[in-house]
Amino acid sequence: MRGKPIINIDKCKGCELCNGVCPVNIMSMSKTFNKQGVPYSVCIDEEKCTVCRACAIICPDMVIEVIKYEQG
Amino acid sequence: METKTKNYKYVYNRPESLVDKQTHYCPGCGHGIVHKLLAEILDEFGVRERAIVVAPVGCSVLIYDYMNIDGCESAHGRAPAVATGLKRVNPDSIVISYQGDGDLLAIGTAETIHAANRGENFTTIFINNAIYGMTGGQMAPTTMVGQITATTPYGRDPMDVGFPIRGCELINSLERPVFIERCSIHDFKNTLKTKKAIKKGIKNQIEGKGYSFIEILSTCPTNWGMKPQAAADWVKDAMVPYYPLGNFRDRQE
Repeated sequence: MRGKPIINIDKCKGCELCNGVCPVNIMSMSKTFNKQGVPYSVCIDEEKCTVCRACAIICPDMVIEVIKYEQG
Repeated sequence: METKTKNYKYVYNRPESLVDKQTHYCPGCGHGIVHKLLAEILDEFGVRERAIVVAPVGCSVLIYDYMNIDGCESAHGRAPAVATGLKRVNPDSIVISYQGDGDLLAIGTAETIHAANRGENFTTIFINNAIYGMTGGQMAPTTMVGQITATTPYGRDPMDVGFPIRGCELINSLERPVFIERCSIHDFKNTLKTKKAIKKGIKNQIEGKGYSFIEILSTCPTNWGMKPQAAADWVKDAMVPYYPLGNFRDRQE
């Protein structure tokens, strides 16, 4: 487990762009709704995250931040 | 929270130049991505306190609300003229004119061409989304042939309204501009290239080289009537063949 995206779900507008760019296909949309009334982005398998930041860079609304775990 | 038990560091978080605020843009709009890239670059150069963004008339009219830098609103299409004045009066400032296709290539064509021809030392970021977004999806000068908009319900007919204008090629016919590049934000790789191009444009200005023009192919999912991912694919399939990506000029002297 190298790191993971931190998703601010209430800001998400549900555009699904992060789902399209993830190289390991671990981004998906929720079955429930956020405050804005749209399905929000979720990370379904944080173990596989490669910390490539693609989802955070493509997100137009600054919903996603990425953290990396430090060894030791 | 698991994150509290382990050591971690942020590898991506909000740039200082971007205000923590919900934007009014539609889901999947390219403006959000470009605002973020611009904010990151201003932070990297450490010029946030000196930067002035000239907002156009269009969807990005409220850019100064979303970025923590000085801003100036110009009349429709007159952003290059306002930017010229700001830069000549404050030569130390970093002036960025952020314009859409209706602003830059329709009503403001004259200002754009003459500012470029004078070689004014500011950076233009041109968002080309092939439609008038704010006013409700009318045909723009950059609308693709056959594209259906509110004012071309049978598709754009080139025999009636002409072919789409290529902004970079137009500016490339002038002598003074130092940097001209067309890029796109339809996928991750091209978004990184876009960041590089904007960075080059701002760097040229800091070094006092002259006019930089960066065209960015962007999406307008709402007015194109597509989902955001389909809109990004449409940029790749329909727009990129007509508007070839790449660098047109990078003068080093």
